[in-house]
Amino acid sequence: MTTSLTTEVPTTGQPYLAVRRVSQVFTMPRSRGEQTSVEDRKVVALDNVDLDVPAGQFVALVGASGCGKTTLLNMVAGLVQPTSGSIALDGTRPKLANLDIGYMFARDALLPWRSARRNVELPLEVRGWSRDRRKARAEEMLDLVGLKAKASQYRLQLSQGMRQRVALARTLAAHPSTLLMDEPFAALDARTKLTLQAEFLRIWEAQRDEGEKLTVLFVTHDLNEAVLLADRVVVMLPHPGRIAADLLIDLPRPRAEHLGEVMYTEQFRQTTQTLFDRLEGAISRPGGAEATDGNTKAGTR
Amino acid sequence: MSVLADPKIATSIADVPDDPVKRRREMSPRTRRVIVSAVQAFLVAGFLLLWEYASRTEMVDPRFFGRPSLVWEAFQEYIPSEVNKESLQATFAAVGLSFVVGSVLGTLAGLILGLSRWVDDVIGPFLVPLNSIPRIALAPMFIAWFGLTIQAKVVLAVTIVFFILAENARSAVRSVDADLMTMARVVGLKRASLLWKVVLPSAVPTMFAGLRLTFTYSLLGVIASEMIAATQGVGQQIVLYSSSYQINTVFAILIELVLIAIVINTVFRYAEGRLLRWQD
Repeated sequence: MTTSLTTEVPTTGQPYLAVRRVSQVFTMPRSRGEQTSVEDRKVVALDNVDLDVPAGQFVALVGASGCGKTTLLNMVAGLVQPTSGSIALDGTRPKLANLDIGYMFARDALLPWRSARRNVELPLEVRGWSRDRRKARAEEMLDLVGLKAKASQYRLQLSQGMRQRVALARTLAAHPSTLLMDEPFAALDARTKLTLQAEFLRIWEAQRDEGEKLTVLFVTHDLNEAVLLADRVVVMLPHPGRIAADLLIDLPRPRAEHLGEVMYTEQFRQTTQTLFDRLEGAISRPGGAEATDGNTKAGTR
Repeated sequence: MSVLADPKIATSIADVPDDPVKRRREMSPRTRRVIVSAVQAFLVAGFLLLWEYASRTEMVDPRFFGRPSLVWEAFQEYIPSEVNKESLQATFAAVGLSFVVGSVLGTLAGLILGLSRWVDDVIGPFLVPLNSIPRIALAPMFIAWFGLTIQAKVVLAVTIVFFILAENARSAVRSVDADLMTMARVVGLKRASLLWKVVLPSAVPTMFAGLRLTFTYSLLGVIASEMIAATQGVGQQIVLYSSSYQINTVFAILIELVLIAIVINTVFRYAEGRLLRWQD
């Protein structure tokens, strides 16, 4: 698949994540009294997707619902097996309970009967950490997301933003080398969202500066968020789910301290515009199968 | 219609804060509670007075319908009696045993049904028809099997309680939040730890609601069994006094049972509040 907007991503040797010709086909259940064949009920969530991600890269997957971005994430997590094609994460096929992965959802998925601290401890329990070590690490993580004082609070006592912070702390607690984030800030109000974006980016950029390679796959439908946070934005289109554009974002880092300003730079505006045109072009052309060739410009119709 | 022409209509709209409906809504929770309690007391007192009056004037036959003042006398006389103590002991020993046996068996069965598709497919379809048997009809059979023993009472009560808890535990396990399950699987929880750390804790609130019902139905089962045939127990006492037209004592026993139920319910609520502190 060639796309006009693809910038070749320089990779040396084996990419950390290699997605090769991956397709995912779901068969919808037959609705009552309907005479549809199996073929008619098939939904192509992903169609022949290729994606290489080097270690330590922050990749945002942007697209409307139904473009298969979450499916791709779930395949990397080992929750879903591809119908065809192959995925290799750090040289091995993804399988469930990969302790090197941290997965964060749009909904906090906190255990409501556990305190914030005990929620952060959950992945550490699986890894067999001692009680004291777990406690220390959980407190360190809560401190990092600014919730030190809320460690003993239960989910219902925390605001939406705080819950996502706890979820972020839990996701990062066990030193994962891959972060899968499925619209982690989508359910937050604009202000809280910006705070959490900055907070998360600060943590990630700090790790990066220390030479740690924390690879991020960040699913979002918010183009601004994608450009603001990521090293690279992959635009996906639905029906069938596919990659339409793949662009390196060369906004300077670290950005965390001045996210608000980055949003008003000319470079940010132009990058977002380019990607927006690409997305919009496909949206205003329903069933745009010809978009698969990737060479169509936004204005062809 | 004349209201429409009323020149004061404009001011009455502006006067919304004085609207009596709105003011009533702003009543403090404490005032509200006091008023609710007062109305409740009034209703109960009114009912008792009416009953007393109807009984004294023989509008209703006092032999069959009793009389509140005589119920109170019977209560004072019956409650401290030795026979009451023995009956209560016999009944609540059976209730306690049914509660424990029924809830353990029922919950275990429900968990297995909820966790295993296979078992649910095979066993599940039997549950509804079995549960629709009027259990009281089984009492004579159980008495024939076990004699006039505590076992006969317990078995009857357990046949009622078991199904309530099995269904309860099954749906509790089934309805675990899908997001939590996905999170748990991604985090790396498996079988035993998944069950112990996610499935069971999220089933606790539903199961607690079931346990409270379990007590009520254990009592129902035991007393029903005692009413069919027993050597001792509250149910047997009720039959005894009913058949000798001592209706006031029957009412006294019923009041006693209600009081005990209230106490036990309070204990349950307290335990629930302690155990489920995270719910609010």
